[in-house]
Amino acid sequence: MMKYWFWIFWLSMTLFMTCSCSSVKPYQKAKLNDAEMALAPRGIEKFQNNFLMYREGATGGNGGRTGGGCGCN
Amino acid sequence: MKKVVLTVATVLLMLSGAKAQTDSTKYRKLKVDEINFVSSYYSQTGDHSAVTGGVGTEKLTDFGNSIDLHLIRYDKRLNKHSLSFELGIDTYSSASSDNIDKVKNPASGNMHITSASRSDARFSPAASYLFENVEKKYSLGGGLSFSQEFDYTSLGGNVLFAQLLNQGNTELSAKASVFLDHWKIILPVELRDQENNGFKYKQGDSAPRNSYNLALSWSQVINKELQMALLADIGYQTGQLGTAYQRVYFKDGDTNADNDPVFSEKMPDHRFKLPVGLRLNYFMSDHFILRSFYRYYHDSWGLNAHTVELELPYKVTPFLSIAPFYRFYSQNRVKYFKPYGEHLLTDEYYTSDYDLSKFKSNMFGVNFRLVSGDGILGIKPLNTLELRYNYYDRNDGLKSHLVTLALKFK
Repeated sequence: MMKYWFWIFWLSMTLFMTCSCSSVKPYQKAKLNDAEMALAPRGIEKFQNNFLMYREGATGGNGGRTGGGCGCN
Repeated sequence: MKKVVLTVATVLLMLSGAKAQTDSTKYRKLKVDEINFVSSYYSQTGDHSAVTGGVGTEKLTDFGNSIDLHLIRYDKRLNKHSLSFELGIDTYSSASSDNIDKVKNPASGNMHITSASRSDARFSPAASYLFENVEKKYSLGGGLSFSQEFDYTSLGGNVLFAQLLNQGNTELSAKASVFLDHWKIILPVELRDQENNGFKYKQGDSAPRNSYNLALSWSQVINKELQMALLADIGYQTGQLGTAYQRVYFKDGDTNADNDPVFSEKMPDHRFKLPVGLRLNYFMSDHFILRSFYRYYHDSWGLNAHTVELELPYKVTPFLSIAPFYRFYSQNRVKYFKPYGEHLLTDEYYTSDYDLSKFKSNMFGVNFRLVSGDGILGIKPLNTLELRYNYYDRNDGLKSHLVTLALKFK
């Protein structure tokens, strides 16, 4: 199962590498620069990500906080 | 309270220093770019408290607040310098923590509560600096963080580097973080005076827990409507990784004065974590955007997890958006987990913490976002108002609600 997901992940990455050859000019980035398109968690998700870090075994890999604190409540 | 006052005073001093610098030269103007305020209320119910060995109430409420201040200035070469200060304060009340000091009344034989641990506050200031070189298109920064609650202290530091490539269509970044934490050991009340309680620390001892992380990211513009980011966090933890006041009840043996076969949770003193994530955001039409995220997680305790998140912001106007979202999460159990009363005394490590058990969870909710350059609700500097609601449902019975309000002043 783990290998299955691993290969899907790396296949996706290779596809994106292939796609990334085309260059988008700065004046063509109006949509990409929209706040909703940000490639990061929203600021308002800070407390949501804290409780998920406490309630679930998996952490990190989402561009958010990765450590510190006991996570024990 | 004393710490809050001290931190506020420190921030004010820094601000006055910033203002002094503002007056010195024109190009070195340091100005407040934005102030963010986030406030949330979290409420949880469940019946698998780890404090009482995987049975009992998990009722918990948390009221969290944070304020952060971003200051920027541009130097002679138009390079950007950003300073950020953050202060977070949480107050929580936990029914399960309350049971750390659960004791049996010798006269009646009934259990009763004497705990002072049912509520506490967490205080967490942080500061960071970021330098962005416009010509060479790189960023370099670092930060410090601190967090304190009644039995836990965390001191963190990080450095980061990011490089823009391919006319700004590619960004590679790396962030290294260290957290040097200390835990004041609190044992369940019935184990505190026992000589042979199977635990390496005694009540009140200070136990270290250190975390080291390397976060790598690669962001890529695919076309005018589509961009992605590949994220990996390599994490290593060492020290006291089990929670001393979480009880584990065994199938065999009589190990305490009440003849309950019970020990404190015991876990390995190191853990290696490897989560890898993929974000993909697509501007589908003038009104709809798709935000998506997938993460695979693996660690040395045998935990494997998958996370999928989908969010569909609908732009009612360019300034108002409504975004329903859904998140699915699935994990197997760590090697050391067994439910109440199923561990054997021959087990080397043991936990009955259901956060480390096998489960699936669903979370959904909605995010409202209002942006206005002219102010909101008649408050001119109020630039953005966001309101978010989450409902979380774990298939072991844990359920929670979270409401968050975020305000941005510019």
